[in-house]
Amino acid sequence: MTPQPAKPRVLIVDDTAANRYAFQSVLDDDYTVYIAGSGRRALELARVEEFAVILLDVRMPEMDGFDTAEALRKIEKIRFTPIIFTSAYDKTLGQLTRGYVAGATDFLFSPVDADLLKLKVATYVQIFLRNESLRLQIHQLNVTLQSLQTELARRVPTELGLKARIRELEELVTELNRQAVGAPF
Amino acid sequence: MSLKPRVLIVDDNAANRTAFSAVLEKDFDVVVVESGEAAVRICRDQTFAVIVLDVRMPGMDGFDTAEALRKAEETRETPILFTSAYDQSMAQMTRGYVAGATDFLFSPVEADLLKLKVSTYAQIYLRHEALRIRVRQLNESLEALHAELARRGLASTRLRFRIRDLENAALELRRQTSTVPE
Repeated sequence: MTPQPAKPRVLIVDDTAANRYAFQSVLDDDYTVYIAGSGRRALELARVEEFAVILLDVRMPEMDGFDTAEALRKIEKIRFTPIIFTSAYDKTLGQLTRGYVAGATDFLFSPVDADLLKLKVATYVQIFLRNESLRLQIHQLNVTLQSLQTELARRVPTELGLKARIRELEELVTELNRQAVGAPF
Repeated sequence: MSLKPRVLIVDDNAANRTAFSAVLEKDFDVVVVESGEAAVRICRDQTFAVIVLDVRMPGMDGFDTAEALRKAEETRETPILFTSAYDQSMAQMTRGYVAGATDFLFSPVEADLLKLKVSTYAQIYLRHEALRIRVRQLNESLEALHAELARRGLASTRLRFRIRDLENAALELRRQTSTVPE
């Protein structure tokens, strides 16, 4: 797990260069923007980098947004990343349902409003970061827990050693007592 | 605790309340209130996975209600889905997001879309809730381990004292036996 930088990583996946530039220019100030021109490229990037949000074009040649989302959802690093579909499609429920099933978290419809894009991305980045901070906390707690358990396991033999030493000494004292009592006066 | 995620519907319009409940009832444990004031009140002692909140209401409107809910510990992170008959003006949306909205649904609210959105946000909430519970459990385990370590530390100290006493006793006995008058 690589925690997000101060400017969280956002991946834009779109086969249209004009869209990529438009989205990037809106998000550049607040996020570390990564660009993929195809679903395949998006998958490559998602295998190396953890993203706080992925903006995914629905209609692309070869792998479309649905296929890409499905494949992305299988990558461990992307399990918790919100995917926002951007679409020139009409808002038919069939499309929406298919998107949600594929793993979409939300939709943005063309023409994408710059302010709305910013607000949506901000909302989902926040959700992601909250999730990430909880996962980090759990990770750290597990590390601490493990070190304490090791410490505890280390103490058991020490205790046994101390107890053995006590038994030894008790026998010695008994023996010495016997000798002292039995000694001729 | 019920197995279905709990959803709160806040709407002053009875027809909307009935319609939304009908759509969500199968998959969610739905609670309905008629005003922002009632929503804030009920959220003080009940938790919800998602809050569906009408923007335009008399008294506290949706924005006021969202702001109040965001200030309360119990609802700080609960997804709020605004429903609105308003036109989709950016100013409204921005105000909504600032107040604490997670998302918007515009009238006429599509039943399937409402279901999809509520399911998505319920899932996000429950995932976070599961993580929060895990954090709590781990903290409890840590506390128990710390206590156990402290207890064992004390026990070891006691054992070491006993060893010292025994060693002293042995030393003393040796001195006695060796100085026993012939």
